[in-house]
Amino acid sequence: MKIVDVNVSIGNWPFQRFPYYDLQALSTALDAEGVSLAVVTAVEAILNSDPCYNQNLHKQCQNDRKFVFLPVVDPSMPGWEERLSAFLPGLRGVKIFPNYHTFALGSSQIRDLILFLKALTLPLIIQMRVDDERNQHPHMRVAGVAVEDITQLANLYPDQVIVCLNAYIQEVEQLLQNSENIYADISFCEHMDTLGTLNKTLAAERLLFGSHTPFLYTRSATMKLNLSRISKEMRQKIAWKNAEDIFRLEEL
Amino acid sequence: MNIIDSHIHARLNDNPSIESILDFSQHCHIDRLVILGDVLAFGFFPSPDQIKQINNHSIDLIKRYPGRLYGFCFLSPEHPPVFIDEEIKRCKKAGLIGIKLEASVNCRDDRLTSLMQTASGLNLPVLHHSWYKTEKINPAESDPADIAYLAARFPDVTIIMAHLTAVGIRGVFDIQKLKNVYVDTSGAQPFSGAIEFAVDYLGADRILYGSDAHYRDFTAQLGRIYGAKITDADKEKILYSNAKRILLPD
Ligand SMILES: [Zn+2]
Repeated sequence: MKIVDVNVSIGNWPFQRFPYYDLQALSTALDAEGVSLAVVTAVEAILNSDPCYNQNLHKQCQNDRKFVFLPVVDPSMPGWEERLSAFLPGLRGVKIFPNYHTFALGSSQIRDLILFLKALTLPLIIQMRVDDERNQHPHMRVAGVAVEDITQLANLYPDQVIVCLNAYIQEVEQLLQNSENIYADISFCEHMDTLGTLNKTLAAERLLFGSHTPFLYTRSATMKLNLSRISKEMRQKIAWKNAEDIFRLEEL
Repeated sequence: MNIIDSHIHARLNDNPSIESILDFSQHCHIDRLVILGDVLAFGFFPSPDQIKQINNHSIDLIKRYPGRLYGFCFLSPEHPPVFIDEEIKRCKKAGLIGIKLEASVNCRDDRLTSLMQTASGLNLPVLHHSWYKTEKINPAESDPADIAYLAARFPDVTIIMAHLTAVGIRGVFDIQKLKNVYVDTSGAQPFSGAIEFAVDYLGADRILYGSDAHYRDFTAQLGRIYGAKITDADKEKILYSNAKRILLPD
């Protein structure tokens, strides 16, 4: 079965040693795990606002059929629109880290970003966290993005597709129940038979395969997908169909 | 490959049901599971009666599913030594194979002394919660340095330190020289590198696969082991033969 991974990163993160740091090695590793296509962002862009990280990755992903480049944007940083426009055409979405870049989801900057995305029918990706808050360095703590803030934003712009990454299972349940335009990845979602369990309480229709590679073992996500007790149709939706629709991948 | 999951929890309210846990574990090719009890059913500080209720539940489950389920006797060191001693002996007689301690008393506390002496006398392994947490869940919660202190005091007791990912690099170094301490692979998200690091510094012989199901998913937890860059022989030790040797000898 085809798998599109919507939550992959490449680069250095000061709190974890990764098994690889270049796109070629990442590509080989994802092949081995059965991931056909990956939406990828630059790890450094989380903590460093130098545009070079997005630009370098964008360059590397061009002409590479394995990766779909996803820029990290801080809409509180002047000039973001111009820098983002440099990635057109071919832009498939935008990722934000509201908690790391310390802007509120209710701010006017977000409104401008959403207008930009709506004009191009692109999804907004919100990465809610990077690691487990309980294990963060005591002087470098960043809380997860609040479900209520995302829900408010989603309900304010009901035709804007919002994809939430790294939400815990209770958060996924709340997010998907609260707003029809919210999707979530499975990377941080966990309970015995995760997807089968989620499918009992709400439509797992709006789940996407995301592994949070290389922070997490890719295999954990593929096994979660492949062994969960859900129908073949649902598994396909989560594995690639939803991602293909949202990121308009068939156009690639 | 045979697989033993050395760290699961079954709820007193049977939600999810034990049948569904067994069914899904079988689907994931896990043959045998060690239930540690519904340790937080009554909060961090259960009464002696509540401890008995939790252990009776585990005893009932292992009797219903012999050869599939094994169980540990859950205790709180804040209870009188006489009660603890009797409870250990009662549980061992009923077939439980180890002792589980959570977070009611820090494991440096003197109140663990008689409990550990009984464990030593009866040759029962002790599985202890541990975590390096930015914020402790309660002040008595033990971290790996506390586990190391306990292990040094009782070198002939086999101690399983829970939650490898959550104890991190420091936790592995804390117990590195204490050969009576093992670590289980449960805890937190399946962060990459943790298994490889533990194999490098502790050796695969000291690592046990544990999922913390039903809170966690067998699939994602097995994924840490299958996805780690270690040898197949090391995976087999972690998934099966270490637990077989330490917990389920013939
Ligand atoms: Zn546990």
